[in-house]
Amino acid sequence: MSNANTNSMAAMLSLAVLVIFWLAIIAGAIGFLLVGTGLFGSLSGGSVKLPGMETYVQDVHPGRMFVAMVGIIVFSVGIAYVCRQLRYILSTLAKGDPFVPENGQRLTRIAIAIAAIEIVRTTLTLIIAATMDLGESYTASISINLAVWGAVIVLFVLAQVFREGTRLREEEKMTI
Amino acid sequence: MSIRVTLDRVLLDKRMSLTELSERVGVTLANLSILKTGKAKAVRFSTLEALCRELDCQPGDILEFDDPRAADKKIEAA
Repeated sequence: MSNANTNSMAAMLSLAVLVIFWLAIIAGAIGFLLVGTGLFGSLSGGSVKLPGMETYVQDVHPGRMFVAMVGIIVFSVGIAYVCRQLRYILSTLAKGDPFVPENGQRLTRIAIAIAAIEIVRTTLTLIIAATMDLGESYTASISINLAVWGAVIVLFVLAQVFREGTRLREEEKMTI
Repeated sequence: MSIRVTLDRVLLDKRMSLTELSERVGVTLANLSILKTGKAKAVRFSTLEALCRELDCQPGDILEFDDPRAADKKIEAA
């Protein structure tokens, strides 16, 4: 692939990642506001009065709202963090030299962030299942997402490959 | 590293500047400088061949092996 093609591809991917970044931030903020209102409502007897509107929260355990809020924060912040790291990697690709030592570390950080999101998701599901009576309409099922853990392993392997690639690149630079 | 580059000594013997050698062998001055200061991690056979041809010398005249174990043995013997 030519350098110009790589640059335009990196620019396009960077734009896509930027869109995902802002979507995660906006969705997180909206979710936080909605669930926050719900939490406030469920704590204050089932209704929230805001200027121009009145919201009713019925039969929702405050703990469930709190868990949902924690989930939203971790998920949106995690996705935004992953997008930020991806944009740094793509910027090095656009400059024509992705084999820099930092990119190995960035891939490791992305893997850790995805693993952390998944661990938080599983933990929250466990907490909901163990501590809250959700009624018959909702059952908290604990599942291990193999695709996510597979992606985490692939990212760790890629990070290691990047580190080795960087070392070889450095050696090549110093070969006369 | 135990391999020492003695290019500066050979250049002095041949009364040749690094810039002239760089033009003759087709290696950039920056890369020859890296080689001369011992910062290089590897030398291609093609570069070594060009250096030996232009400096009219053997690879052993440019490169020296400085065995650290030999130095340790000398200290122990003393």
